[in-house]
Amino acid sequence: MHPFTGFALLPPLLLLTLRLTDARALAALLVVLLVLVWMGGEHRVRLRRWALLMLPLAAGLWLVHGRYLDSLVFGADVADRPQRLYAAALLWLRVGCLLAGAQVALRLAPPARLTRALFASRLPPSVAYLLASPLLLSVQLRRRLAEVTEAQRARGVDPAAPWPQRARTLIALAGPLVVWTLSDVGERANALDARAFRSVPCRTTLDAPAFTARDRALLAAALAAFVLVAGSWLWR
Amino acid sequence: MALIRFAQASLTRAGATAPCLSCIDFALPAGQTLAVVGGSGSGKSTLAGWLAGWVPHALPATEAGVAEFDGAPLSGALPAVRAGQVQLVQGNPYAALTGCAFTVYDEVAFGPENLGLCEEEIRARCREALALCDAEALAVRAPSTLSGGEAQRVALACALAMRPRLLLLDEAFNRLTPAAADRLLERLRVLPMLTLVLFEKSFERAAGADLMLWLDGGVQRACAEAGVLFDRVLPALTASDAVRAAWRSRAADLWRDGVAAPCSAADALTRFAEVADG
Amino acid sequence: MAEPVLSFEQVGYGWDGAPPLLASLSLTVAAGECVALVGANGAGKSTLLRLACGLLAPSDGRVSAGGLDTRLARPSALARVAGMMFQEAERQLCCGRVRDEVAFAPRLGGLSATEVKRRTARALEATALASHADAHPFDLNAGERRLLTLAALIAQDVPLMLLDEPTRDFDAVQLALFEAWLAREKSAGRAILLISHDYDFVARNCPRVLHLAGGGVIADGPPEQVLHDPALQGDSPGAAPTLPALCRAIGLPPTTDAACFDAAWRVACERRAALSKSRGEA
Repeated sequence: MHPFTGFALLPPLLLLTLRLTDARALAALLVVLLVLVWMGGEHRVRLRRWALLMLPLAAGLWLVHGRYLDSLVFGADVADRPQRLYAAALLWLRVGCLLAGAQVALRLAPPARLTRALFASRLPPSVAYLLASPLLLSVQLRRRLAEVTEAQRARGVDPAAPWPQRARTLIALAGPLVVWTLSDVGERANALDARAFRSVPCRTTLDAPAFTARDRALLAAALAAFVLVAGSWLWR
Repeated sequence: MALIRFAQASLTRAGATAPCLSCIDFALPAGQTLAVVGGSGSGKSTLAGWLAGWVPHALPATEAGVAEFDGAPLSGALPAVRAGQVQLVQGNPYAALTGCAFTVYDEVAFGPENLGLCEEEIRARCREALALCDAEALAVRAPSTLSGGEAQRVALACALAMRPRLLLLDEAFNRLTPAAADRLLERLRVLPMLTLVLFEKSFERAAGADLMLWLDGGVQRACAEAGVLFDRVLPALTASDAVRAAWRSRAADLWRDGVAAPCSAADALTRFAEVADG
Repeated sequence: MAEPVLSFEQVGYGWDGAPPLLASLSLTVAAGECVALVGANGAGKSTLLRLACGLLAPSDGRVSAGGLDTRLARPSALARVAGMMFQEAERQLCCGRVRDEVAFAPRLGGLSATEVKRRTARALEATALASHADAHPFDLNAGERRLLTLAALIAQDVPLMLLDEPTRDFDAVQLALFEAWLAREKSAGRAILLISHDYDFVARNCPRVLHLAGGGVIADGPPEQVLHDPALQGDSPGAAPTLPALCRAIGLPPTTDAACFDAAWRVACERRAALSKSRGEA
């Protein structure tokens, strides 16, 4: 499957989550999406990432929309609390659906293939590089952080120290990472130049992900779904 | 005709008043090997960058005198355009990684891909470059996980895949074992149509070149064959103990006229034997 | 004998899913010893150093540095007994000024400002970096940057120093500086374990050499003996260490000491000159 195809499923999903106004229907959709995430590779990481965003969001929405602060501090009238909380729940479910959908799409597009697809696309190479750079950078930054941590541990920085000490640790670790990343920018530009990046308008891409009949069918299905949901909305 | 020609050339970094390189004066015919030698901070890497076409885009500086590559001015062209002709492999191999690849093979292929070559040609180049650098086994590895020595092989393979006419090796083998470095250098020397410039602080690695250029504090002190420069240049460079013993013997007048200075440890054994037996 | 500064007892180590890199490896390094670790690329030399300073924990056996079990000790405690110079100098630099970089470990160790200052000054002087004290580490050349990592180690002032390819970036002058420092530290009782591919350097400075191969130490002894292994030698006949090889080739007593060689060579030359002169007279 072409890495871009997965992302084509997101617009109809967005529309669908906006269209559904019943919490139970949204919850069902969310469960389906989470099961899809769970079925794919690296599901532990992906689900944790989803939870790390969604749980604090739930707490925030509950505090703000439930008007607990208002009622406690100012004694505000909170008779409409259930309605407000229901609206917040709908919002939370929508965001959750979209994030889960994005995780599904990302699973269909591993970074290596997505980068390749970007470079093989009709986008100018510089734009492709710009779009791909978050994918490329995260791998490198993680690696660098591991190296910096190791070097600093050898000098007595304790990554597992209690919190007050850890603040100092973080500074000791963040410093080299920032310095490195900055010094890297020039180095990276030189490396790209040295490999004739953007020297000719049309570059070749080895093993460019092919856009198959299946991708076309899925894209058509996504488009059809989009039209269908939009149509049903307008019809009402 | 000379591929590289410098005549009383000097380079001044933007914002500086004194030149960082001066009195650069030599000509290198295509297919030959030049070794630029000097200690730390002698200006080798700056000269390497200048030859790689970094001036003025990647190395803001102004030049004076004549500095030509293939009959055209060395500086001014866009570095990306020059990349098909000239390749620089730096001492820090991680600087060569573009970060655009998830495997070593992709990293090596990245340059030829940018040249817009056909797929078969790119694959042929990658195969050849990886084989020459003994890096086939690394092809599937992620570039960021390579050790220093491995990364150095890959950096060289990346440069070779561009099929440059001029290859600049700025201490490009310092993370390899001496034996592995010598083997690689030997393979590069016999590649047809390739002009090599080595930047070294090791006398012996440099001594195999056709011509040796000695930089000291950014100034070209001399340019001649290694044997001719031996007595003057050795104190500034690293060398094996046997070669250094030969230098001390020559300085102390315990040498025989007519016996040449050694250019390697193995050579030192023969030369000393010649002096002793002769 | 006093307790060794570093000891490996039946240590095994392997990366996840790979065959073990080191297996039942035992070794000790005593105070005042300068030991070289040699072996092919990928033999596990750098891994051994990481185990020695506790950056990696052994999968089997026990590593102790300065009497501390590396598996149990905290990094702050380990940093007081063992210091490491990494192969890539850039990876361990973290401050914007040379002076701060050198002072990093002593400051972290909670030393007084005057003590930090004293140690920093001493380390900068020993590495001839005093004139660069306010420069940015990235503005130094490769050799100076390596000296800076050495200065940081000197300021850390640990009984055990682990150096991964310390001489690689040095030119002749910097190498001489480094060897002078090494000689002083050896006589001061510091334990040093270093990795090097420069066998002449090893022969000059390390009375004991360990050859690491196949997951263990396959040879442990004086440089002349250990380095002679064909697996360590290149293809050239001028086998390293080159000075003893030269001595054997021209019939002088083998030595790694330049002054000894020079004296022997001078005597040989004078004898030959006298011989040819007497022949000429005859």
